[in-house]
Amino acid sequence: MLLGNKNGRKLSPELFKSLRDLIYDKSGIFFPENKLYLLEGRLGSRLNELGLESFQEYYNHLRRLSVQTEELKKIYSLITINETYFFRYPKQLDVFNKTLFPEMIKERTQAANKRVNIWSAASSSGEELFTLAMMIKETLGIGVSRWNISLKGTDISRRILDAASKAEYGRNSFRGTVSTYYKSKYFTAQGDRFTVNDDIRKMVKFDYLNLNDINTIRQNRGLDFIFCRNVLIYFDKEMKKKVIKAFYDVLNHGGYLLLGEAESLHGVSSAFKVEHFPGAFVYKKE
Amino acid sequence: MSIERSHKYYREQINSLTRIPSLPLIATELMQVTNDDRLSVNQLLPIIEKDPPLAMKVLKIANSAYYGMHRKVESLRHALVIIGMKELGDLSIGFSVMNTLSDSDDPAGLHWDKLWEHSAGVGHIAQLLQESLGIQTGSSPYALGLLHDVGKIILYRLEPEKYVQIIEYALENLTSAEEAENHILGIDHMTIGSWVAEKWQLPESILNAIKYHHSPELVQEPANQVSTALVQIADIVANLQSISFGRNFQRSIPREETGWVILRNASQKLAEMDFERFVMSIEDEVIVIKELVKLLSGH
Repeated sequence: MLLGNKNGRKLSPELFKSLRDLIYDKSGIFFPENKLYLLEGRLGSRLNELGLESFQEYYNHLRRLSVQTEELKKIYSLITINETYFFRYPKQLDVFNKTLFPEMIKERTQAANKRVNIWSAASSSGEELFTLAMMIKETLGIGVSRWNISLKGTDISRRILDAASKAEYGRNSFRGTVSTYYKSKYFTAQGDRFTVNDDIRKMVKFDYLNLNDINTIRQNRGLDFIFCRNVLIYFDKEMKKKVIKAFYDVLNHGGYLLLGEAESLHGVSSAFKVEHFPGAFVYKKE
Repeated sequence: MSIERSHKYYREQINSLTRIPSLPLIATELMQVTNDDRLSVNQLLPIIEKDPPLAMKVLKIANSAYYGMHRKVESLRHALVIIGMKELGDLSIGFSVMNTLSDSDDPAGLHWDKLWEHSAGVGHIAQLLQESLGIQTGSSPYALGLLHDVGKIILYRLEPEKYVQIIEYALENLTSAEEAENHILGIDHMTIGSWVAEKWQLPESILNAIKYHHSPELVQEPANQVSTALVQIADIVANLQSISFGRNFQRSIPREETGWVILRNASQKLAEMDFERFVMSIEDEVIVIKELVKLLSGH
């Protein structure tokens, strides 16, 4: 198993712990002991690029404060998994599309407030945010221009944010059920690549955010929907509590937090009211 | 028709022997036996052995995941010990009622297998919930779930065409079955179900589950209140996982149900368990539920 892994390129358990703690400290992403090989594999390429001989040298490099910020962002791009696709977890999207969003629109119409703020807290390559944009466009029709719908996606990986901004996708992004209606209406095909059309791209905005940076989260107050799907799994309990508390604080009353399919806030927060729907549940800030 | 007049009318229908079948003799016999604390397995065994299909169902249930047996349960005696006397009484009543009522024809072409699936699903979930909470109620949650909606079948037997209208009304107007039933017939399945349970002299725990599965707080006896609460919450979970019958189920907030409060008071474990995960895990149980109900209904 030493294949392609020169002696100096091995990550010792001691160094793994130091590196792991540094990453956790800065990003909240936690690597348990059994993920040593993952870190070793993913970060090996950085050693080559920097012309470093060993992980020890890399760690010393990393601790120099002048390079830290940029190098850590590169690390985040390498260690986060970007595994998403259009219309992922359709039962929950259905709840958003058919119940929660229309209710919000109705309520805002009565209140003569034409603003709805939606945040995808780990937007990855952008499929989730574009899915939401397409559904909203369908719900509001041409009336969408009379509304001020903010759809913001943030991620810790610069690489993936670049990909999201390009809005160009391959077959893998369509492995969920995407109706031909949506595919033909909102995408332009070039061979086996599909680019999201401008009307949808104009609705969304992507930006860099480290969820460990609670102060920056707190600057985004007044949210109506937070999608944070399949992210909490990377965090330990303490970090989960911290992030969820911040989410709660920046949500409007009546706003919703939507987690991934296998995730719950059990043992993390009891501040929200849990609303169940067929095949999905959501967290509401009352 | 006013509510009073429809209640009077349907009460007469229930009391006329021709419209509602009587329970098989064996069910009545078992009810008497299992209600008597002094009786032993030895006295119960011969009654069940007289009815091979029932004996087979008892074995099937004993071998289901509910009782967590690692080895196959092959003897009826062993099965009785595992299930428990009172629970066995409940179950055999459940199977008898199911048998008696599924025999009838389906005049307006409603799919009753879906109702049995829902009922068995509620029983299955109630049983799992009881285990998660580590409580004993002295009755069989599976049997209570199986029978909680029996009033719907009774109403359908009495008013086949109108019951089809009821289901359409509930789907179109996004109302509950009982709202639609009261709107169209002036009576609901809980009320008429409880009259039949009285007529058949079913045990109190089953009567309560039929009458109060939407309002368990009205049950007086503490253990029965808990078992009825299990049915109420299990009913919601079943609908959330689309193990439902004639119902367009929407938003639900389990923690605001009276049954939740009853269960929380009965077991500390409710607050400790990851209830959302429990709800989502039921999706994987659908196959188990369908297979068991198929075996039990003898198809």
